[in-house]
Amino acid sequence: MTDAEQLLDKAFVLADLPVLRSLLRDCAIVAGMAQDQREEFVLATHELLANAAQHGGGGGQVLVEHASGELRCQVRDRGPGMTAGCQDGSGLRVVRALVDSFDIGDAGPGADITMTMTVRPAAPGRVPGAEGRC
Amino acid sequence: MRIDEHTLAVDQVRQGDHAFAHYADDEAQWAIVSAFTGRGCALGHKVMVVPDPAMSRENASQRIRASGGMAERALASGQVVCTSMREIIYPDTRFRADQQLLRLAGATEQARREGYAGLRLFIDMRWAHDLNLDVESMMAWETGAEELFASGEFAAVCGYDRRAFDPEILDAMRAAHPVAVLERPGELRAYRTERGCHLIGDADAATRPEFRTAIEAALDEAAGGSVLLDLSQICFLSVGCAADLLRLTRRSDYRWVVVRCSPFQARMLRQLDADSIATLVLDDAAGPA
Repeated sequence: MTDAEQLLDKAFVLADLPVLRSLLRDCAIVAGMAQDQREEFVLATHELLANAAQHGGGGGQVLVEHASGELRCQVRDRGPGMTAGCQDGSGLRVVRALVDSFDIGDAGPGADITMTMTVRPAAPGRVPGAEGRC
Repeated sequence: MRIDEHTLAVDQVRQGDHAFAHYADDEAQWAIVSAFTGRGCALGHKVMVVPDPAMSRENASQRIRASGGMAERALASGQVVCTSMREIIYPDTRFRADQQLLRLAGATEQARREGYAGLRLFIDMRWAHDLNLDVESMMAWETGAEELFASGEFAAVCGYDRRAFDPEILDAMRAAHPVAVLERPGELRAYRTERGCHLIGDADAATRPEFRTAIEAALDEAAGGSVLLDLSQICFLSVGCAADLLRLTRRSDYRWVVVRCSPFQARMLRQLDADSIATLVLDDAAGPA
């Protein structure tokens, strides 16, 4: 990803997830995602964050970047890495179905997951934030 | 505090809303301020924050900055401004509702001229104590300001600290606002309806026990051959809570279980095999996404 605009870089623990979901919606709005895709992005990222907070040593770091019509999210945690059991969970199955790419890194301790979504913009004439609630 | 169909998560507040917020600790207050401010920044709105008169502008800016996201840049560029009611009404020293309407309408126009999509205001209502405004005048202001919101270019969250206002005043002020926000982001609240239950807020790992309890109670107690689980005001539904909903529905004896939800939530439920439950009806006409 070249000339990426960094939209979020934040450490987190489980208690931060509600505030992070709000920040993630903000990122999706800035990237120009239509409302239904914003919710897909928030759900997919939330599931990664929740997985990291619950099974990955209590928390981690989330990085969101936007470039070339794509929103990229990286979640790193402090846990033992992604076990086969974790990867088969319904949360990650839903994530994989929502995103365009999903990679699990294996560098060092902890899991390092990166997902990307190609931005589907709102229909012309639709004002972000005026469509509906959430 | 009462929960009803006028209650929303702060993330669901949009332009044109005049919202009541209440809290009894600083963390809850600044979580609300940060979410409201961050959304305004993302949507290209100018944001004015009026903190407790006892708090300095520098401290308020620091609290907003600490929330992360786009707040730092927005404070530096002037998109987010911390101010005070004394500064807003200057050179006047007494609050007058008619003047305030003109001032805020003017500030909205000014924001539009500066290239912003609209204006958002968070205001800690302790300014009323600072300016010795009586309860009747406060109520007159809260109920008489609706024309400001009609254009859809202005939104306000009026923050009431429960440590500073009597419960009767809070109840009256809540009723005077078209929208009330949940006390803090991430909260889940439920209220019973004749046909089932209505859920508001976020259903995730932290609120999963409350989510399950509300669904179980509705499935156990609703009368008749069908039950309505209204998720249309749910701000966030995790995969785990969605799976719980399906498990509980599968076990129930109802002829019909109607789940009112957004199209996005319906798609997630279908992905989790909702269509295999013959008694389940997904009513997804409720939301935009």
